Amino acid sequence: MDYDVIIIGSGIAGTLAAINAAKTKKVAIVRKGYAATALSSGAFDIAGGTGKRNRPFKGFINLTEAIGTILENEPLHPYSILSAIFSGDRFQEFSSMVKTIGDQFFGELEAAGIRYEGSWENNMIIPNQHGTFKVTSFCQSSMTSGNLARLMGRTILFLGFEKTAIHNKTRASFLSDILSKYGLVSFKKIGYTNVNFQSQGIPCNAHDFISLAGMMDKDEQAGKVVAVLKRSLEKTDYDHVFIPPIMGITRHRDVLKMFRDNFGDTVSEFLSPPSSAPGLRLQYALDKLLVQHGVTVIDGDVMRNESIDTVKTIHITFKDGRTASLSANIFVLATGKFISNGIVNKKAWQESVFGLPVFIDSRRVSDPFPMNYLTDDPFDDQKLFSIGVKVDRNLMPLDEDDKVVYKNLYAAGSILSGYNYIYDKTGMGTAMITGAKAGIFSAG
Amino acid sequence: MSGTNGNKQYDVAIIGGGINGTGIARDCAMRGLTVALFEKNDLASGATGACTGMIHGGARYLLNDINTTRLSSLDSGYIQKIAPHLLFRIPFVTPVLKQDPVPKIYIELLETFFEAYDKFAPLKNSKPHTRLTREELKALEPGITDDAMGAISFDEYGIDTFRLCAENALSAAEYGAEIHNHAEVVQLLMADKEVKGVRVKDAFTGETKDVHAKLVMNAAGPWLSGMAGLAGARVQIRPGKGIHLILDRRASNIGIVIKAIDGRQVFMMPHDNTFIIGTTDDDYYGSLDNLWATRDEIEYLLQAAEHYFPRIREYRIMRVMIGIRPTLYAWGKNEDALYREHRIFDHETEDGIKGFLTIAGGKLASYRLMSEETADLLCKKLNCNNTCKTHTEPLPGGHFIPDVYELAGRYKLDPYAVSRMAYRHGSKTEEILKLTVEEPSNSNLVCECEPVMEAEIRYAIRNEWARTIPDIRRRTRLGTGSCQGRRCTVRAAYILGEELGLGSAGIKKLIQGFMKERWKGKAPILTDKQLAEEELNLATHILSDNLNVIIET
Repeated sequence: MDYDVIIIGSGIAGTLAAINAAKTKKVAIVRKGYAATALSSGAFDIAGGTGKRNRPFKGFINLTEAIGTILENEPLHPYSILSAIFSGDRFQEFSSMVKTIGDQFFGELEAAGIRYEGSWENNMIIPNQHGTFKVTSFCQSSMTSGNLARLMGRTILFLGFEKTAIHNKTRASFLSDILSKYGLVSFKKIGYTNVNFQSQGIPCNAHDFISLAGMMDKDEQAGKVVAVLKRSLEKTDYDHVFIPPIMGITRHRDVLKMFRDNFGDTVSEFLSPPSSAPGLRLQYALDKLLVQHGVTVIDGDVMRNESIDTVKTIHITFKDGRTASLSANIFVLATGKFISNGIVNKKAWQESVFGLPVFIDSRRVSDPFPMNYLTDDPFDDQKLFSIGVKVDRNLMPLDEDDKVVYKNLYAAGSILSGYNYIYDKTGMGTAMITGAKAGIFSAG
Repeated sequence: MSGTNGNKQYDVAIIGGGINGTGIARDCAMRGLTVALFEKNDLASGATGACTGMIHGGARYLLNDINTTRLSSLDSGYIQKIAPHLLFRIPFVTPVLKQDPVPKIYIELLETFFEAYDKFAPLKNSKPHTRLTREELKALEPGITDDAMGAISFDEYGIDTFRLCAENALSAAEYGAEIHNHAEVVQLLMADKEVKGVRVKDAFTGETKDVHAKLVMNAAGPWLSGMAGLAGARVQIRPGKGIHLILDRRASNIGIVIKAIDGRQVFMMPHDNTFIIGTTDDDYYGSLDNLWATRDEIEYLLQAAEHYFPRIREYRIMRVMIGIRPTLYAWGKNEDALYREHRIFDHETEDGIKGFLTIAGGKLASYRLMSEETADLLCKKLNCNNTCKTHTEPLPGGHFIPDVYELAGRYKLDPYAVSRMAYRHGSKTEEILKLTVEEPSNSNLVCECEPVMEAEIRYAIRNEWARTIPDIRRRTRLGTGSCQGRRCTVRAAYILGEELGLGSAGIKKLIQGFMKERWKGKAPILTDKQLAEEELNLATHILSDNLNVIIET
């Protein structure tokens, strides 16, 4: 055997599986690149609980209560499936497991350069670049300083960058308007201003905050940007400023410190739709964790596998065309959903590496016509986006008859069916918990 | 409809803002008639916007109606003169496959056919046909099937139908016509057996208003039977549903004429910065206002394309485009055998209803000619002796083709973005670029796929009647690229919101409207890369922006 455990995919789920298994086992991650985690906002939805139309938005939603609702009403959700192993107070035991895994993981991320803040009790309200807000559980500290719940009655300033995303009156008033409709937060004032970096000698590609954030990793550039911001803010009356997420990627901790030294905690990053620097930042931090835990990272695409009853060998093609075969005792599938091609629709819907059957609401689906699983309104909870492999309480993929497909295969993250992370806002939480558990299970 | 003067009696009120309605409005206004046009949705939002977008020479009429081919070719030449910026040449090949019955004879027949068609090529600035060997064809388009034995080439022209329609409306407005989109004609004002005007409902405010006119011209396309019914007249059409598949950028740089499983001719061809495959043609009995592509239609086209271009399914299919042809009625014929001819109904002579006319049928390539013919009739009825000038006077952007590099240099803008703007706006480009000097943020790219600058969006809102994001899409191609609105929807909503002075409720409606509009085209083909893109799109608008919750409140 080449490894004890091979994990396919290196997003949140794959990484959590790897670092948990690596505590006692020889582990490799095989991946064809970065995907949804690197593109994400970096926010950790544990149980946003606000997404579904039949579950009305309740403001500062209580996280533990939201998890309870899922365990009670959604037997196919991975949270519910995992909680089935507990014999006592399912809800209490599951919640404390979530907290233990989360606290440990956030601790590791902090050591890797990104501090996550949040609470296991209440979600936060984080404003985003598009002028709306997201309710989420944990966020990078460069964003949590902007938790709107702490900014009641303050004067807020939206700061945009010319040529990238600018703010106008409409965008600024939209947020206060929608927040006041919920009776959640009211501000003294929301204003906006836009900075032109180009005219100050700082190159800045259209719309590309990520390249700007990358430039911030260099002290000299970061110093220039901070100086420009300082000048623009001097004449402005504000209590708190939101800027696009540009506070560095690989050296986020240093960049954030520079901001804190200059502005205290009055400048926060907006949460950003994909793709975003905070997501990439998170992905790089995960890479650091893999190195620290001695996980071998193999950049290659799994082309085929040899499996009868158990997965024996996977065949990999590298970017340069070379190939290799790898064997292991245990495999973990953490290949994500559509962004990363974890699930594909060729002549039928299927899981892409092992050809596992995929399910929606525990019903096997194969017919490729997408409208079978979609409604005519994109704001509905679209069933197609809850497609995935079905697993037992040990996270082992099942076939139509609920029989384990391969005796040494686990699955974690958004490859799983039974939940729709886009609508139910449990995405990162599910990836984290199922990833960690898959790692623990595969370490035996 | 703030512009309409309630007491005024117009010469002509036109129902429908498709290519016929706007073409007739332009012609009538240029001849000095007072014109008001009413469109219930937006310019080119029906059949016009969903058509293949070709200004062709009418090759298919060559066998039985040479005069139509001559007139089509002549008009194709005229349209190139009045809208030089909007046309793009599409070199086509008609491949002959091993499986075709007697391929050696078939290619000879094809060549003879295109030799005849060559006679009309000079009228439309096309190159004469060439005969390609199998090797030459393969070199020209390596994606073509190994079963191809050779091909005949010919030339046609493509056009942005949305811009063509908008430019006709703009020209009409320059000559004093009033253009009202989002203004639905809900009733005809009747006195005895005479139509005296229209009652129009504003789609946003719900207010209605009566507009008086000497003549009412029904150019409502697929909706024309309903309109005629309001006057008690009966015009029967045979609605034919046609879909196109739209692929991201280029599957091929040439157009390919292919045959579907039933022998119907289908085109696959470059169009703007996309590639389209179409069309289908099926009798349609459903709602005209809620069109969805079916699995059969999509598979029919993919199967046909795959037969000639085996790897077509590996390309990124972004969406389907769906429309209804207002084909003239006939019983007992296959859809494809129906004439694409048009007819102008004067309901005075047909049904004894005065002051009311209907135009039905027709095709995009001969829109100008049909408008001329209609305007001739309207003028005759109104005793106006002015003659048609629409074939000699350029459309508003057609006066010259601007120097893109010079403009990009002078305005310090990305030449590619300027070139796309210049394609759409021709000689008007600099008028829009000037907005970037007035307000630097107007040079921001709002749509990165196309790309589209903020200036062009503001221009469309201020000067081209854009009131919704789909309207902006039709004017500028915003949101038509591979991200299908992921990055531009919210940005465009704020710009539109600012221009129109909308509050948060209005902005939510704008976002919701565009997402739903894009969804109709995307949902039935969500596979592979576009499905991955859609996961990002929903992650943007629902996971990150929380809009599904926000919109409900």
